Amino acid sequence: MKRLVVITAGLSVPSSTRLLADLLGDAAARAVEARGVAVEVETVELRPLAHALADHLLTGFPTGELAAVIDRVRRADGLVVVTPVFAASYSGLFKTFFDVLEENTLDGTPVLVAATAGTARHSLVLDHALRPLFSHLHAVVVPTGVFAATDDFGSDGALQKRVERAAGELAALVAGEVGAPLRPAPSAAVTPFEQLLREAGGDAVR
Amino acid sequence: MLIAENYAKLQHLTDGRVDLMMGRGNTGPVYPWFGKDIRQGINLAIENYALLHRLWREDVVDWEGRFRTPLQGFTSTPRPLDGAPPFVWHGSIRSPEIAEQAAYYGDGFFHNHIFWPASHSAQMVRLYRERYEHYGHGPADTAIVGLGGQFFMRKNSQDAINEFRPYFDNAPVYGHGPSLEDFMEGTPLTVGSPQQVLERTLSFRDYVGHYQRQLFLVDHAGLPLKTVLEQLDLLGELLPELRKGFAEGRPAHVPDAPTHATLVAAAGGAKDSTVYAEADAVTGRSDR
Repeated sequence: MKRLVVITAGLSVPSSTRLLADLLGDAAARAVEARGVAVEVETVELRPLAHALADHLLTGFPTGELAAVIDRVRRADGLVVVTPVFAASYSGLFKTFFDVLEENTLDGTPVLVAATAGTARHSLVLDHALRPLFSHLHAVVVPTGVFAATDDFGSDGALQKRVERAAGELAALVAGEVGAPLRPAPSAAVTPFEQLLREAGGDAVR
Repeated sequence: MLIAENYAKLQHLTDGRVDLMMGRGNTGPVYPWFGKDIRQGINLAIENYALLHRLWREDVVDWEGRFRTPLQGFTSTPRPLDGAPPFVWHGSIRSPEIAEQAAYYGDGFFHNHIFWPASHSAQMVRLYRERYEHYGHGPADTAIVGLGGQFFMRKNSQDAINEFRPYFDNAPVYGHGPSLEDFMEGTPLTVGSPQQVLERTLSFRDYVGHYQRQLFLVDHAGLPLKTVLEQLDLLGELLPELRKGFAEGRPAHVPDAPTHATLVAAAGGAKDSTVYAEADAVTGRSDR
């Protein structure tokens, strides 16, 4: 059973960001199943986690539902991430979630990036903001990102084509032979002391 | 070198009533004061302690490392009292390397056990205990563990909460974040009656096992001196109950923390560790 987590940073109800997230989540699930692989999809709204995220910034540790979500993201086989465009980039809420993840949390995780805005003039936010962010986090970003402006919804079906194409790319990674590497919680790893001594002496660069 | 000398000196002044607890310092601005780089923090802790460990145990040390000039034929003086160096605790919040270091040497491990969830302390202590056994110092449950903690108490728990809250709300680390209640639930912080502090403190054993030292952060959050002293009085009144509780259900094979006397006994008795110089070059005489 593969697990997909869809993360949406939409703020309003109903939210076009959530709408796009649902389109992508459904399409990704269908595309994984089409490859004969069972999959479950969980959608996470960041809005109810906003206070917990601000607390995490101040305390350095996650509480309650946020801790549970982070754990599920760590174990996910793939992510769909969707943000509204705020001030020419991802929203602060969206970025905060990825700011508080411990190092290595997304190592090798396939990620489909998506964004919404009022106009198509913001579409390069996918390539100028989201792609560099997830490259930095060592995630594997699928080639097709999905941007939806307000007038993409309910128009000629071009949006759905992009959704299907991106979902297919994500499914190929999620259902493929090469899964995401096992990511243990960082502090669980032990480095034997003899090795620490050698490293302290400069024999190996960490 | 300065630590080796000063703490050995302190042993002589206090008849051996000295432990040394080491912490790396985890704030960026501190390291440059000493001309160091925080990115080398772990490596510095590993190398510096390896040297300190030898300076106390070998009368004459030849040393070459990465972070200081080499030593040739160096003797740290005074020598440790009765030939037994002070007991050392390695303190760490989140560096498994330091737990590993404590385990390797068979030294004590101290976890600060404040500000963060207790599950984190439990994980670090478990790691230390496993590795202590791995390095052959004894079973995991005989490793030497210390914990921090923080309380604020008044006879009535609501009085404690009402009085502490304004300090908490503006305190370093705690302030302007989650509520007092959230922090009490999520971390070992206990604000309430002496009975509540007693019960909470005795519950720490449930997740770290029987342990040897409990330290408390009291002078924090801008509490006035008078209030801090009142807290110490209240703790003093609670101590007999705390000690009784800690002794309850404690297996006989779990040791107390080492003292100078037990360390000397373990080394086979006190030895005169004075280092006598060879005949000096001017007079040709030795004090031997």
